[in-house]
This record gives sequence, C-alpha cells and structure tokens, in this order.
Amino acid sequence: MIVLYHCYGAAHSSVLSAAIHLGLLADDRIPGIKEIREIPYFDRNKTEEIGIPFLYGIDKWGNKIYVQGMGGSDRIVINLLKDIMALYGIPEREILLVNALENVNILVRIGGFLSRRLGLVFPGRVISIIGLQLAYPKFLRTVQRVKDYIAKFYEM
Amino acid sequence: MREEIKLIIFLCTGYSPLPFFLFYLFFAKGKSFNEIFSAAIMDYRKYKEEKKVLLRVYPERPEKLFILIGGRKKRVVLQALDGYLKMFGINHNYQLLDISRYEKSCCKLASLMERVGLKSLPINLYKYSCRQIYRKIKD
Repeated sequence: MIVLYHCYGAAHSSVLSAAIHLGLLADDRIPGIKEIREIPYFDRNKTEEIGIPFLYGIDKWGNKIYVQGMGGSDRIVINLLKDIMALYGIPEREILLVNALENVNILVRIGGFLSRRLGLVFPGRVISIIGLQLAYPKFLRTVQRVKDYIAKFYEM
Repeated sequence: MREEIKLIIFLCTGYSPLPFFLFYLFFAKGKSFNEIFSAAIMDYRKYKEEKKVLLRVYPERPEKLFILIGGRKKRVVLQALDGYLKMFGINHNYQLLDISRYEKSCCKLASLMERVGLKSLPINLYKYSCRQIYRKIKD
C-alpha cells in the first residue's frame, strides 16, 4: 500500500506525520525543537517543488510512505490521482490519502509563511516547530488511525 | 513496469469547448468555422457530466487524447501528474499541448456565466472566442 501524507507545501505537517509513521519521532512524548528540526525534509521543500509527491520512506510493514504538497489545489490534484488510477486500472485501496493540514494550528501556518514565503527561515522554523509541538498529540492520533487502518486492511 | 501508453494531453485551466474546438481545428482540416464550432459544442456538452480532471476523449481515435483541466496552478498539477505516474511505476510517454494561452477573458467570462445558469450568452461568448482563434491560426 502507498500512504500519502499531504499538506500545502510538504514542508511541515505532512513531513512530521510521515516521520512519526516511520518511527523517526517519539510516539510517547512531545519531541524537542532540535528533534523536529532534524527530521529529513523538514522545512526544506521549495515553492517550485510543490506538487511533486516524494518517497519519504518505507515502514516496517513494507508500505511506501509518500509526502506531497498540493499547493491549495487539493481537490484537483486528488481527483487527478483518482482519474489516473481509474485509467490504469489501479484499485483505489492501493493508496491511502491523509490530509495532514487538518492538524495544523495558526502558529504552524504563520511559521510556514514566514519561512517558505518570506524567506525568514530561522524565526519561521521556530514558530512552526512550537506550533507542531502544541498539535503533536493530534498528529499522533492521526498516524495511529492510519496504522490501525493498514492493520485491518491486511487482515482482510 | 506497467504498460506504456502514448498520450496527447490538452492542458487547460477550465472546462470549455476550447479543447474540442482546437482538436477539430488541428485534426479535421478543411472544415469551415461553423462546422468545427458546432462539432466542438456537441462534444463539450457530451463530456460535460463526466466531471474529471483527466478526461479521455475520442476513444475511437488511434491517438490517446486527453484533456487535463488543471486549474490556475498548472505547474502543481503537472508535477503531480508526473509524480503519480512515477509513483505507480508507469513508463509514461505523453505529449503536452498547453492550450491555456488560448483561454482569453471571453472564455473565462462564458464559463462563469454558465455556472450562474445562463445558456445562450455563454455559447455566443465561446463562439466569439473561438472565432478569434480561428482567424489568428488561419492568417
């Protein structure tokens, strides 16, 4: 199965979700600023890379974990994905789309804007990380629901 | 690797008769403007209810023709298209025809009018827009 965590720019929330899924971040406590800052691809994706889904890693069950920024064109991009899958006869159950943006708060949005749009990387990164720490339990719940779904999927 | 499929994709920002008009203009030479436009409007109405982003048209043709309705953020959608094909291991080989430059303000206004429920005025606006393109290409 492919799990695709998506958000606006594939810089913060989707990357954090994928990192939690792959065990790169703790699931029993809130990670520190340094731990979050050092996860692969955190706050790195450039504006011109929005839209490209990229492979973040493979989990211990062999599922491919992707991350993608949809740039606010979620409806079009998701429908494009469905149309491609229908065209090539790929069953819809082969991919699980997870909207990581649902878990973000105002601090993550402000931090992301400062860092990615205005180029104020240091303050932007710090603010977004603090926002992610505050929302961390929500991200944990989302990832756990994804894992539960995958477990049920393989039981069937 | 999944099977390679050669595609021709018309890229536009919104659904309109324009890609069908351009298809007939490029692939059905020798016809008059009115013949082309009438055929285009018929096909536009035929495919309208499918509401897809990547719409397969004219399946009887040997070329595999698609319309990609990418919205305003074309780069995002095109990068997503390439990324998804790569993600599924599809060896794609497509030719992209970006027709969004032909989507002038008349076309966009017509689309907006259709959405609010008007019927004949949008068609007249589409016709005007297509006629401008027809004249430019024929000249």
